[in-house]
Parts: sequence; structure tokens; C-alpha cells
Amino acid sequence: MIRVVAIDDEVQIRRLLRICLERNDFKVYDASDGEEGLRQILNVKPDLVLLDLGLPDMDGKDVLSSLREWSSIPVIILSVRNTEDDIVALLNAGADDYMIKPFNTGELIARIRVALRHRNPEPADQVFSTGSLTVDLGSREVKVEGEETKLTPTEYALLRLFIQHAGKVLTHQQILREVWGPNTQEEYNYLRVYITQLRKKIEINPARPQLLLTEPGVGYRLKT
Amino acid sequence: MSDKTEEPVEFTDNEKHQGNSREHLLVAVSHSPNSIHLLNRTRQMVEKINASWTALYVETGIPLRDDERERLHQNLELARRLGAEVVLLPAEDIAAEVIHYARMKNITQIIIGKSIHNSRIYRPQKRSITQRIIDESGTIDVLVVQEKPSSYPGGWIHRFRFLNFTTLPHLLSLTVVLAVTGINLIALPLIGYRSVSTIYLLTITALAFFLGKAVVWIAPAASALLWNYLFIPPRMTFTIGELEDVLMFGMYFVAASTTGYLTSRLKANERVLVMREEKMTLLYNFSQSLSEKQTIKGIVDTSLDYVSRYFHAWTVLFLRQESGILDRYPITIRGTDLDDREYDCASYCFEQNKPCGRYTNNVPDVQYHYVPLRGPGNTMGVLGIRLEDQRTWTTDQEELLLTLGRNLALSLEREMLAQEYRRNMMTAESERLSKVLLNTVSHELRTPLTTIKGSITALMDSSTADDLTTRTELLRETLIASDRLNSIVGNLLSMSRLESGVLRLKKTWSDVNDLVSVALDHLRGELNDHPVRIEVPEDQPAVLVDFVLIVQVITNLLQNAASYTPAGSPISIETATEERKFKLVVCDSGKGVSESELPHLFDKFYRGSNEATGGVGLGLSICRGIVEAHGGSIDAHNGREKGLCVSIIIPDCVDEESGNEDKL
Repeated sequence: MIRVVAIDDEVQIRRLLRICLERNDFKVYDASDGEEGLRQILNVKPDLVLLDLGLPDMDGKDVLSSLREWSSIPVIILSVRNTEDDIVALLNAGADDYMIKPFNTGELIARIRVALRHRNPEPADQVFSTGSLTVDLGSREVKVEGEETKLTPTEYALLRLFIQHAGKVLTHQQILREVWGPNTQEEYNYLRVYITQLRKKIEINPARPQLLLTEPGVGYRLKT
Repeated sequence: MSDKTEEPVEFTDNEKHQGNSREHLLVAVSHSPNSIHLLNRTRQMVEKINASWTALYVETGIPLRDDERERLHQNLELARRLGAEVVLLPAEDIAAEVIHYARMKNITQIIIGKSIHNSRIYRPQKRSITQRIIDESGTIDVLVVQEKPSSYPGGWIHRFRFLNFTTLPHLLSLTVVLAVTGINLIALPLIGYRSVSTIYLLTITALAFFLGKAVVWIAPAASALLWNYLFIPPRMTFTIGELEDVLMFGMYFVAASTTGYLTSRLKANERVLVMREEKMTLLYNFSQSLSEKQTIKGIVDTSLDYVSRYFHAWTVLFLRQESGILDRYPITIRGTDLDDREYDCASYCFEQNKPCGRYTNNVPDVQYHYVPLRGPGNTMGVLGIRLEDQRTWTTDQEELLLTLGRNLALSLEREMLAQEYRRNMMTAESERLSKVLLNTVSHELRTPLTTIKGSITALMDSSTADDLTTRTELLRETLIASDRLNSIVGNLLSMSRLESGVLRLKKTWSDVNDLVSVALDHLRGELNDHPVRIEVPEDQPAVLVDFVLIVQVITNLLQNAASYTPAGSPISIETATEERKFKLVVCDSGKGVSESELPHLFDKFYRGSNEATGGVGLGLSICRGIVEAHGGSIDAHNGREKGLCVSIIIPDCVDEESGNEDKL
């Protein structure tokens, strides 16, 4: 059974998480502050951590950084809106994904599964497919609704990065670092232009993207 | 028993306080030591009948000796200490001025001393000033206070004041008379002894004009005697030979005295007039320029400038703070280094509400002379003055400074009241808003909460457990309600962030299609019933804006359009670029809004008059806040066909180069 530690200071949220997660066959251990959460993680050795940002005793970021010193288990941030900067900082510091409160529990379960899958990668499929998009990673063939479309090398590198992290949010910084190397980190405009071009090639209606989604103030996500 | 007798007395006192018929006494003071007695007597009366009182000094324009000046200063200071309003008026005729002032100010009683002096001129032919005041007072009571016997040595000096002619004008006039006599002696053979008298007469007139009253008696007398002795036959005797000459001599003396007196009086009148006019002009200009100023700083700067220029002095001003304490840090014009002693003195002046420092008996060894700024309500501060050349400080100057101070205090108080009024208005407005907020929010929060609670209690009811359709319906309602609750809370948070100024824009180059589509994603559920037409030009360049905030603007505009128009009515969203300005217009196809309501749409908590749907009335005002934070503008108008259009324009956010994707 998959074990999840949920750290949140609000008892109602903990109860809700417990109900929803146990319903989906997760085993839930909860904690009401950072200290207790870290202790639980040490004891339980969970498969995933749900971490609230506004904890009474310590900052969510401190919990993450002390956790990352000795563990690489997936962490999903739970947070309210208007904390985009904090979320970006945590994602760049090694968190796997985030959920804005109030959240849709179905979506939370999906995010948890994506995060778990990326930690324990099954032998990668040669062919990736989502919606109308099919990509053959071996032959570098990209098809939209069965029609082959030509991508430039950079566009393909971008798309391959999203496929590697399919379903997971990628911050601007992470994408820039992976595709263009560490020296272009602040060039958001660069990235925006390529995302627009890529959307024109893989989306059916580039003005209303259904695959390559914008996460406002954070980054992008390839929908699975 | 004594309590019983005191009570009614206190009652009458209070009554007098409240009524308008409070008595007002006027006491005429001079430089005479007797004035002290007069003031003390008046003070006793004033206390007894609970009246207000004024001490009046009439400046006749005749210069006072130093000791007289000093005594006058002390007398006026005493009057001030005893609680009188001190008034100095320049006038030549003391009695007339006292009566005039008393009539003007509705004085009920005039108090005068029996031997009120004003000049060194002995006027045997005229009634005394005391007598004239009594005669001309009409309906006003006049109380003549007996001079206090002999305790002041000044008494007899005053009586013989007219003999005291050791001063310069007298000597000068005698010298001139002697010189003219010399000339007359030389000219005598040519003009004859009778014509000599006309030359003397001319001389007297000229002397009176230039030297004033000082010459009125001496020069005519001396010239008459000289004329008699040296010119009228038989010469070198005081006897006069012919009857005709006796007549001439007598007429000459009368003519010379009268001419001298009239001329000198003319001159004195003129002096008084000039003095009065100067003072009036100064005060008029002063209050004129103060009334033009709309800020405390303006008022203070102007008055300091006036005072330092008029008195040729350094000036400082300590203002009363709101706490009622005197500000430690003064405002100065050309003033420097004020140590604690100066401040202590100013504080003393402020607290005791009387002058302090140099030229006074209180701490006279500090640099500045401080006078309180007495306003109608409070003492507004302290004005300090330090004469450039350390001249002596005269009573006139003190009076003028106090008057200027009163004007300044009045202006300051006026401005502070105005400020307070504005503050109160703002407080009232914010109270109104918080009331509206409380009402609206409690209502708007309760509506979705009611839905949620209602649906869920229904779901928990065993009778609905099996009805799958009802369950789905209820759950859908709950979801919609909770989304609405979330959006209300989000709007309130955004509003408070906008208001508190915490909001910091994080501008990034943003794709316009992206902005629109993220906003549409946020509203997925709410826009189900409204077809949305999106018109973003193919070549729409990227815009440099805060992505998250502009998404919120678009979301709010779309949400507004959706919730205030009937289901099924289309919504359009268009963008355009003009001269580096980004323009976005959201139009609905509802009924539109009446012209009178249009300007209020962006006000906080404003909700259209024909609203059925909920909303806190914050959506559009948040939009305005965000757009204005971007330096842009937002505007609502009724569309060409029907419906309401809201357009936002954000300047300088489009860079053709950066937006050009073909460059990469």
C-alpha cells in the first residue's frame, strides 16, 4: 500500500485528505506542523509527502530543504492563491508539484499518481501519446491527429522535456535550464516565444491550448 | 448655610456666561503710574460682575520719554496679566477715540482715572479729557476712579509736565527764533519793526510744522518778548509806547500761538494718520496673504517671511502639535541654533500664554523674544523674534507682533479645522465603506454557504440517498457555490492588497492568447451558458504585464459579463494594439447600463441598480486597481448595438521588437 504523509495545520483539511486518499487505497499519516511532519517522514518512510505552506512552526520551504538533505521522495505543495513566488521557489528547490487550495480532490489524486510514476519510472514507452498528439521518441516522429508535423531541434527538445515530465508542472527556470543550458535562466521571453511556436504545431487551436497548459505565474504543464 | 447663599450667585454667574448680555468694560490707560491703580480697580469690578474687559491706550503720536515708555509698557503688561484685552489705537484726540471705540465695541462701562494725561500741553481753555469723556459718553456709564493719593511720586511731576522743556525741540526752536531775530535786526532799517512780526509769524509756522507741539508755547512767547524788547519802540525796554503797538503785540501773540498750535496739530494728525495707515496696510496685506494660503506650511512660511522682513529680525515658529504639546523642532527663517533654553522659554510662553524671553521679565537672557499665538480656541504655537540690531523693543512693536500673532493663529486654526474636517470626511467615508463591506460580505458569503449547507444536509438525508439525479444536482450546486465563495474571498484579498499598496507588479512578456485562454479556463463552469467570441489579431504582439493580475482582470470582466446577462447571450473579447498601447475590450449583449450609472461601475461595492445576481461589487474596482497599477485606464460604455462594453488600455507595454516572433 502506498503511504502518504500529509502535513497541514488545519484539522479539517487533514480529515478531508485522509478520507479522499484512503478511498483511493493510500495509507495516510498526518502531522499538524513541520516538526511532527519530519518525524513522521523519518518513522514512516512514506512514498509521497503532501506539504502545506502555512505551517505554524516553520516555513514550508525549510521543511522541504531539511527533507531534501536525506530524502528524494516526491513532495506536493498545498497552497492558497497569490503565493506563486513561494511555489516557484519550492518547485525550483525540489518539490514535484503543487495544488492551489481549494482544490479538486480528483485532480489531487491524479497529481499524486503522476508524481509517484516519475519517481519510479517504468521502462519508458517508445511512443508517447496524449490527446491528439503522438510522439515516437525513437524515430522523433511527431503526429497531430495522425498528421506528421515538423519540429525544429529546439522545439523537439522542449517537447521531449515536457513528455519526460508529462502531467507535472515545470517552472520557467527548470525548462530554460534543461533546454538552453544554465546561462539563459532569466530569459522568460525566449521561452514564451518557443512555447507559442510549439503550440502552433501541436495544438488543434493554438489560441486555446488543450495540451501544453500555462500555469499562471509558475510555468507550464503537459496534460496527460 | 453658606452653601445656600452661594448657590444662586453661581447660577447668575453661569447665566451671564451663557447670555449675550455679558458686560464689557473699557479702561483707559496711559503711561501714568496711576494706571496701575486703575487697572487693579477695574480687575476687581470685572471679577465681581463677571465681565470681559479691554484696556485701551491711545497713542497721540507725541514721543514719550524712556521712563514713560517703560512705565507704559509695564502698565500694558499688567493689563494683559490681569486678563484684559489690550488695544493700542493711534489717534490725536484721546477723549473722542475712547468714546468712539467704546461705541464700536458695545462697551457698557468706561473706567478712567481722574487725572488722565496725554500730553505736556497745558490746555486751560479746554475741558479735561476726563470731563469730555463724561460729557460725550451718552448711554455708556463712566466711572472716574480717584487717583491714589501720593503713593506715586509721579503725581506732581505730571502737573508740571509743561515746564519740562529741556529737550531738543525746545532748544532748537529757541535757537531758530534767536537766529531770525538776528536777521530781523539787520533787516530792520529796510522793513520797519511791524513787518518783523510777520517774519516771526512765518518762522513760528515753519517751526510748528517741523518740530510739532514742542514749540507751540515757547517760540511764540520768546519771539513776542524779543519783538517787544528789541523792535517795538521804545526799543530795549519791555514797555510799549503807543496803543496801536500794544494792540499789535497782543494780536501777534494770539496769532503766533494759534498758528503754532494749529500747525502742530495738523502735523500731529498727519503723523497719526500715517502711523495708522502703515499699520492698517501691514495688517491688511498680512491677513490677505495668509487667507490665500491653503496649507499649514504656506501660512507659516508667509508669516515668518512677513515678520522677519517687517521687524528686520530672525524669526522662529514653534507649532502646537496634535498632542497639545509644543513641537520641539521650530520652523525658522534665517534662524539658527536654538538650544534647550530657548525651547524651554518658548514652552513656558506656550503654557502660560504670555510673552517670554528677551525684553520681558521671564528669562530675559535668551536670544529670542517669544509671544504666544493666541487663537480663538487654543494657543496655536509660539512665535519667536530676534531683532537684527538688538534695538530696544517698543510697546508698539509688541502690540503689532501680538496682532500679527493673532492673525497667524487664526489662519492656523482655520487650516487645522479644515484639515480635521477633511480627515473626518475620510473617516466617515471609510466607516461607510466598512459598513457596506460588512453588509455585502455577510450577505454574499452567506448565500453560497446556505447553498452548500442546504445541499449537503439534503445529501445526508436518507431519502435522497437512492435518488441519483437529485444527488448529482445537489452536488453540482454545492460545487458552484463553493467556487463562488472562493472567488469572493479572492476578490476581497485582491482588493485589500491593492488598497494597502502591497501589490508589486511582476511584469513579464505575456502572450495575449495565453492571457485570454487562462482566464477562460478559470471560468470553465460559469461560461457554459455563454458563447464567447475571441478576437485576438493574428499578429498580436506580446505585452509586458503582470501575467497573473491581468488574467484576473480578464477573468473578472468575463465573469461580470456572464453573470449580469441572461443565459445564452454571447460575450465577445477583442484585443488591439495602437502606438504601443494594448487595448482589450469585453462586451456582453445584455441590457447595458444607464448613462448615469456608468461612472460608478468601478466604485468599490457598487452594484448596478437592477441587479438580481450576487456579487460583492468588487470585481470591476479590482480591475481598475490592477489596470491603474499598470499605468493604464479602464472605461465602460454601452456598445453600439446593445450590451455593456468595458475596455482597458495599458500604455507602453507593447514592444514591436520583442513581440516579433519571426526574429528568433
